[in-house]
Amino acid sequence: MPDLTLTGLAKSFGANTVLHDLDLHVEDGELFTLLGPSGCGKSTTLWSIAGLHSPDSGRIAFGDRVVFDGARVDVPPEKRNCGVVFQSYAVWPHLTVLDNVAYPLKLRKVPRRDRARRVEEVLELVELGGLEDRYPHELSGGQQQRVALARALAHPPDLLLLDEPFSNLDAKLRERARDWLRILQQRIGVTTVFVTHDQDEALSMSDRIMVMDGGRVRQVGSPEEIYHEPADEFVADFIGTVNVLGAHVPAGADRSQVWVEGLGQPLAVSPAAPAEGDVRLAIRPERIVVHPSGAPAATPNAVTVKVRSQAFLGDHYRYVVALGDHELVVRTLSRIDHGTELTVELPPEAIRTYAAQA
Amino acid sequence: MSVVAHRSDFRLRGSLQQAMLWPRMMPGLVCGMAFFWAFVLLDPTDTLRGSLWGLGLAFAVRNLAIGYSAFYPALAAIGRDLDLAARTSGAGWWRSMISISLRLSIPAMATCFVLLFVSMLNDADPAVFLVTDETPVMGLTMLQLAATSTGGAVAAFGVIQMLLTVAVLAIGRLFLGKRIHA
Ligand SMILES: Nc1ncnc2c1ncn2[C@@H]1O[C@H](COP(=O)(O)OP(=O)(O)OP(=O)(O)O)[C@@H](O)[C@H]1O
Ligand SMILES: [Mg+2]
Repeated sequence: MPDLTLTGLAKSFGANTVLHDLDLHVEDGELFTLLGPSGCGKSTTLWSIAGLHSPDSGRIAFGDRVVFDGARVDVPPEKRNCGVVFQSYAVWPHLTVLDNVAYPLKLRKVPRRDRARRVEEVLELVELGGLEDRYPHELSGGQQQRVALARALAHPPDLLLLDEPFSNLDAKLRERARDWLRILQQRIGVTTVFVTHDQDEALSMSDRIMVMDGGRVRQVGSPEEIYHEPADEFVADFIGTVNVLGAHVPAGADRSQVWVEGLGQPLAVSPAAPAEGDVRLAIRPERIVVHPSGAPAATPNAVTVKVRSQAFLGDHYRYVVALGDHELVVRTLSRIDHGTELTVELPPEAIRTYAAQA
Repeated sequence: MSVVAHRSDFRLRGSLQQAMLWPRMMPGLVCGMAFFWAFVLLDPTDTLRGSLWGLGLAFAVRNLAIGYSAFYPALAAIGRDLDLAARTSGAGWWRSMISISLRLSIPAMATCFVLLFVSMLNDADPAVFLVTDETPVMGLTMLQLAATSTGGAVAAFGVIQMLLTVAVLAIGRLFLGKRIHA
């Protein structure tokens, strides 16, 4: 299986620039996720890789094979050997499951006997054995999605490209499909690019994630890196829930101490703030520690706060407290018996600071 | 017959879309004249102008617009993803058109042919310049007969026309009855 390299990929539709100079590298056998809000250019990137439209400039290579290079090379989609699963599945309604899956093999003139064996093999792989003669309208959404996947895998592809393959499934099925696809992908070891706008999906399945916004790369990293060390406020905010507070570092002062608006004491942060002046401070609700009966004396960043509201959400409790001029969401696993006040601790290493955007 | 010529044109898009609508925008007579001159200039031996094929061609072009408007929505309803999936599976453009898009639009095509046939049957004006003794066009003949007031013959033609229409519609029904799984 080859790796995949995009270099300086750019694409505009008219005046609308969708991809700005995109670079990315997907390792051999990796499951690489493109994550970002709607319209950020995920599908455009995927379609460029598949050859379904031509970028304006840049270079795309599968291993050593250059499939796109500016105006010089543009290999048509049928010669790129990518297995693609579309958001709509695009299972052909006039063909049976068997014929759908056999189509790529027929085109490549695979002899009848080998073809039958391969179709059986992939249908087994996606757990659709026994449904060969059904037509797509006789299948459930989840089954159609697996037919699409079987078709993409039938003639072993160099790259597997998945464009939001689970978006038409209900929540339960989606979770099952995730685990299932991840295991399958690891078993066959195919280099995979996966597009989604669902952060849970991205976090739970990927080897690495690229967070995109407005056609630009915000961060590339493992799910843990993306979650715990977001590169900027956008990434922090996009992945999971986060408290973002306005804060200030006085000129010439120690940058590991920041002042939250309206709070009478500084908070220690680690690592230190990137700049003086206005900064933004981000902390995940579950990283905040609650001390119902007061914090031990030497606890850094222990603050006594007023509780504004509380809610029970099944697997956790959610408290909204006032921290200076801001509201802070705190998450705990068990219920806290409290009066109107509560002591919370914001561990310095759980706080990320970003320069405030102009 | 002329219908085959039709089909191949359909997917070439873009300016063709407009070009297909022109013949319908022109009055039929002007259209017929255009064909008359085209045939005279391009085909000095006159074999095309005098033959049924010439007539067929003129009608085909003239009715392209109707066929197009009947057919296009059906084609549009077949998701682009279905073609693209064929492309990424390894099919070239033609192959994916034939095995996916056209194959899926057979019912629409059948409807379209029926519609075309009915409209051609009643269409006289482009033929005024193209008819010869051996290849009369029903609509035109009716008009001539009516003008020379042989009422009985006009009525007879009317009945024939109706029967033909019914027959074609019935054939169309057969086609449409055999719906594919959608
Ligand atoms: N064929 C096209 N013509 C013009 N603009 C397009 C075309 N395809 C996409 N765009 C524009 O490009 C931008 C990115 O589209 P893209 O489909 O890549 O987004 P996406 O990240 O996949 O979003 P989603 O999560 O909604 O699928 C959008 O602003 C869209 O309007
Ligand atoms: Mg998309």
